[in-house]
Amino acid sequence: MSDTTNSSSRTAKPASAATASTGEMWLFTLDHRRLARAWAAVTAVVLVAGVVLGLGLAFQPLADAGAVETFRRMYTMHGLALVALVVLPAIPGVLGNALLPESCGVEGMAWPGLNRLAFHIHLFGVALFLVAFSVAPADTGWSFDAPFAFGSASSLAWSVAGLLTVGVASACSGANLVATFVESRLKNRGNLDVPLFAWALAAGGLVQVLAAPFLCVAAVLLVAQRAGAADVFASGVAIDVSYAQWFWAWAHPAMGAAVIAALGLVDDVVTRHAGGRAPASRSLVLCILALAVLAFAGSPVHWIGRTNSPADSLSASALALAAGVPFAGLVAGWIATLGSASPRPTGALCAAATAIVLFTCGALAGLFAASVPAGALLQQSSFASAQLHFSGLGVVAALYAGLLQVSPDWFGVPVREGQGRGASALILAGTLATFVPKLVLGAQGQPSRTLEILAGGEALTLASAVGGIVLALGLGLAAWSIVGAFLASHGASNTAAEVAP
Amino acid sequence: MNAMLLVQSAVGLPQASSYAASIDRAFVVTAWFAVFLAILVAGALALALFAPRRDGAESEPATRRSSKWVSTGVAVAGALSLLVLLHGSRVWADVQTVPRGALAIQVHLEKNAFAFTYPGGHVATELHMPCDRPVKLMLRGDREPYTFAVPEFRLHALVAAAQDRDAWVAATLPGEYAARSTTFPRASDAIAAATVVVHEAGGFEKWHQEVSGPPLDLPPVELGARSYQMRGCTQCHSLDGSKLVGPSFKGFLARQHVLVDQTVVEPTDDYIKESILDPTAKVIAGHEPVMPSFRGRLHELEVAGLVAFIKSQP
Repeated sequence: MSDTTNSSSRTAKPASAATASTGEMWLFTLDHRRLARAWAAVTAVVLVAGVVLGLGLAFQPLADAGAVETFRRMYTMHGLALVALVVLPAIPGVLGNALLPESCGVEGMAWPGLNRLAFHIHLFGVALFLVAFSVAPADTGWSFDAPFAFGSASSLAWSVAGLLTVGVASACSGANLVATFVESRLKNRGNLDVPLFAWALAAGGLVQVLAAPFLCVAAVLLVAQRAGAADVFASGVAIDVSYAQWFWAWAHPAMGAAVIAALGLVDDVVTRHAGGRAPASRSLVLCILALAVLAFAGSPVHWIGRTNSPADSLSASALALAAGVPFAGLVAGWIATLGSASPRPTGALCAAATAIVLFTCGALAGLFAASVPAGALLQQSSFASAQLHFSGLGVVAALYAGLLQVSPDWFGVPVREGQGRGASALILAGTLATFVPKLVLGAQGQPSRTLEILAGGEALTLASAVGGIVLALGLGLAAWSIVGAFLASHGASNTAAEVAP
Repeated sequence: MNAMLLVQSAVGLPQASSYAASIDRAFVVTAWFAVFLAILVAGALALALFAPRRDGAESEPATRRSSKWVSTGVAVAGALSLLVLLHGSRVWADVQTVPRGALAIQVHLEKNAFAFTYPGGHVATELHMPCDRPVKLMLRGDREPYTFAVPEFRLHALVAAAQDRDAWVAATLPGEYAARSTTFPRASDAIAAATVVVHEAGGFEKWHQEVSGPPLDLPPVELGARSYQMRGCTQCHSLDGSKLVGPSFKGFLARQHVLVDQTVVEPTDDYIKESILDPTAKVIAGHEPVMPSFRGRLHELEVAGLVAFIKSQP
């Protein structure tokens, strides 16, 4: 690929390609801005499907309807779709493409070909999941929990292939983010004064790349064990722990990378609202880098509590607690910035604030897991599941904040302010109403992933399900507000086209 | 103390073990920290976003004077985390260390149901415990991981596949509780569960003596007679010649013992002992091989007593 095509494709404006077919415009474009919109469209469709499944999951135990197998398949689909296709790839894919080159002060991504390839691989992964969900749904939960996954009668091949493919796509995206960051800094003579968002995407990208091999190993072990090739796990270590070590060596850093990218995005929205963007302060960069390191160091939290050594439990708790420390630094910084600038609470800023509160709730729920004796009580309860949802929905809120931020640039018209604020408020209220009851239920001993409701837990389960409706409404309004801006811009450009001749 | 009561009423569980209160305290301290910080962050954000703007604030550039705040946040969170960890680890050390002289009970998971083996070998599907005395639970690893959890005790032990682990608890409130495995159930949707019975003072010893069988210092025939009554033999073996599931013991020595393959065995001590410990090895013609093995469930003297008792039947 020559430099000239590279730069022309990098600078190509979407509007100038009016003659190209839709496929060329969106599927085969090398333009990072257009790829960002293609990512956004794919992510939005999956998000809606995942949320509908989530609502079904919330009500099925209450209705006492449907078979256990259906329930298991539904939560597996819900988890896989939302973790692998929304939370992990969305921010690098959508806003990395939309904002990173600009943040770094370069024309486009370092490797536009790889950037497009990442999107194509991701689409292939989505297709694999579609086949998996419609033909051979797995029933093991999104983490393919061993040893259940080894003996499950359901077909895992398509789902595992889908997860692996999506993981490879994330690694490609990540490599591109790192390369773009490094290349831009080399061009700028090593000047590191870039916004925090660029640091966060690069750090998150690096984590994605480094974690991907662990997913490959976990997938190979899972497939080999199921094929009966051999007892592939080392003797002396319990098989569930051994598999969990490999799987979470990917999953924990990957989730960490998604949260780091989301935090960078929140910082971007906050600083733009506080009167313009400035290079990130060293202390904030250190916080982000510390989070990237802890994303790796924290993976033992998922399996170490299953071994019998109290020392292991203590070190796992210390690692879990450590991740909260740099996060607290970021939150304190944002509050100080917002407090001194008193910006107007636009939709984007409200969505960013929602993300901050949700991440804070996730981190504070992590305090319990990290306080050793309390954490032991909460293992595998709905408390742990609620904690994961706070982080996941924090990423979704940050994504929405970013979309509101770029919408004037994308559509020529901003998203309606009231819709943006309303969606942010509903997402915040809905998430709290859905998952705070789950925290309490978990503290009472309610296990996750079961249709059984613990005696006396019916009221809270119902409250949580009703909260789910509010949350779904909030996410629906969020999607509608973006679609509305898109339609408005199309209407505007069509009328403009009619008037022009 | 008020905070304790508040969370207890929210969680709604009695503190039924010696360490439940200290675990709850760790939980409550964490909960108040969490609630305080959540309100602090949400409140500060709301104030920054929705408070009436100061004049001229809009024209101010984004000063990155937040560094000081970042360091403060890191320092506060670091100190808080250390506090939570130190407090937690002290409680944890207590919960992890099995006291000396604890009563040892084995816990197995068999076909998705709990089974408990008591000192002396009695196996039951209920967990019986004394009050105010530490009990060591020897959790035996299953092919699949499971948890043994009793929320009222604040006991929650995760047992990895094929690994054993010990836990302990000293119950403080007599009554009945429910133990369950909170692990994602595998073979069926039923979550393994068991009833836990905490006896009043002296109640456990009485129960244990009842189920453990007769005193072993009785004369053999008398011991055998007691075992015959207590170990469930009466359900299948009569003494009056009536045919139940298994052969009657009436006139045992005087009878001919014809097996299903038509061979005849002598009613020796070894044959009777084998029929108790390995019942399907030699099955009497006209009966099904359905008797469970009593290997490991009876004391050697009890087996000898049963042999003597069976031989003594007129």
